[in-house]
Amino acid sequence: MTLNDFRTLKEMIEAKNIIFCYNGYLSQEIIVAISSMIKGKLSADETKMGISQKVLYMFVEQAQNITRYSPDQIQNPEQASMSYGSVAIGTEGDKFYIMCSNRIEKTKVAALSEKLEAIAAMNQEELKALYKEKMRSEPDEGSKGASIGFIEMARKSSEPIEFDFIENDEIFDCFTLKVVI
Amino acid sequence: MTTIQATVTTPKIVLDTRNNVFSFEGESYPEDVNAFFDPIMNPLKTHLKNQQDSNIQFDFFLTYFNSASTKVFFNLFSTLDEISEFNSVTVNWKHHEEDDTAEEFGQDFKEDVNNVSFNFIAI
Repeated sequence: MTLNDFRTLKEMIEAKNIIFCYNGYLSQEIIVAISSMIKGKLSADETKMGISQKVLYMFVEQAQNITRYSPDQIQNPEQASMSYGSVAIGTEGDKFYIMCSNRIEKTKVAALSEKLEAIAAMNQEELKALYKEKMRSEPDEGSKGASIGFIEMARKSSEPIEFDFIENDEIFDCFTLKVVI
Repeated sequence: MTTIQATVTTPKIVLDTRNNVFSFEGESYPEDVNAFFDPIMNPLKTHLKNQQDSNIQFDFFLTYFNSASTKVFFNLFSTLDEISEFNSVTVNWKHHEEDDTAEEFGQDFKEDVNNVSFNFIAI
C-alpha cells in the first residue's frame, strides 16, 4: 500500500461520514475500550441520550456477535481469545447506521438467513411478540447469547435491518449486517 | 449483606437478604453472562422462593445492558411474579430522564408481571 492508497482509504471512510470503523481482531477488552470512545464522542456531539444508548447497544451486540461467532479466531492461552471481523458506525443525514461483517460457515447460512429474513419482515408488534417468546424459551441451538440480539436490534431500528451473505470461498460466506437508528 | 462491586461490564449488586432489599446498578455486558450471573441469581432465586408474607424490594438502575443480560433479568422477574402471590414485591426501575431505551426495557419487564408493584423513577 502506498501513502496515496492509504489516504484514498481514509478519504473514502470520511466521505461516508464514518465516526468509527474497525477491521481486525476483536476481544471483550477492545469492545469495552471502543464503547468508552463512542460514549465520549456522542456525548461531545450532544447526541440525545435515547439515541446514543441505542448506538451503543447496536455496537456492543454486533461486536459481541463477532467475538462469539466469527470462525476466524485466535486462541491464546496467555490472553483472552480474539475474533476477526469489521464494525463501523456512521451517519446518513440525521440517522446513525451501525454495520458489521464477518465470515460464517456455509453450513450455518441457511438457518441465520431464514431467521433474519423473518425478523426484517416483521412490524414492531410482531417483533415484540417474538422477543417475549424468546425470553421465555431456551436459547437456540448453537447460540451463546440469548437468541434475542437480532430481534432487539430490529426493534430499536427505524428501518428494516439489511443483510446479505456473499460467497467467500468453498467453506465460508461473508455475512454483512446494517441497522439504522 | 452481600455487595458485589461494579466493573466496567458488570453492575454493582447489593443483596440484603435480611431486609429483602436488593439492587442492581450500572452497566451489564459481560462476555459470558451466565458465568457472571448464575452464581448470583441461583442462590437469590432460592432465597426468594423461601419467602412468605415478606416485603421485598428491588431497585434497578441499569444504564446499559446487552441482550443476554436482558434474559437474565427477565428470568428474575418471572421469579418475582411467582413469589408475589405470597409476598409484597416492589420494583423501583430507575432510569436517566432522557434514556428512553432503559425506560422501554423496564416497560417490557413490567408487562410480564401481574402482582409486582412497579415504580418508574426518572433521574
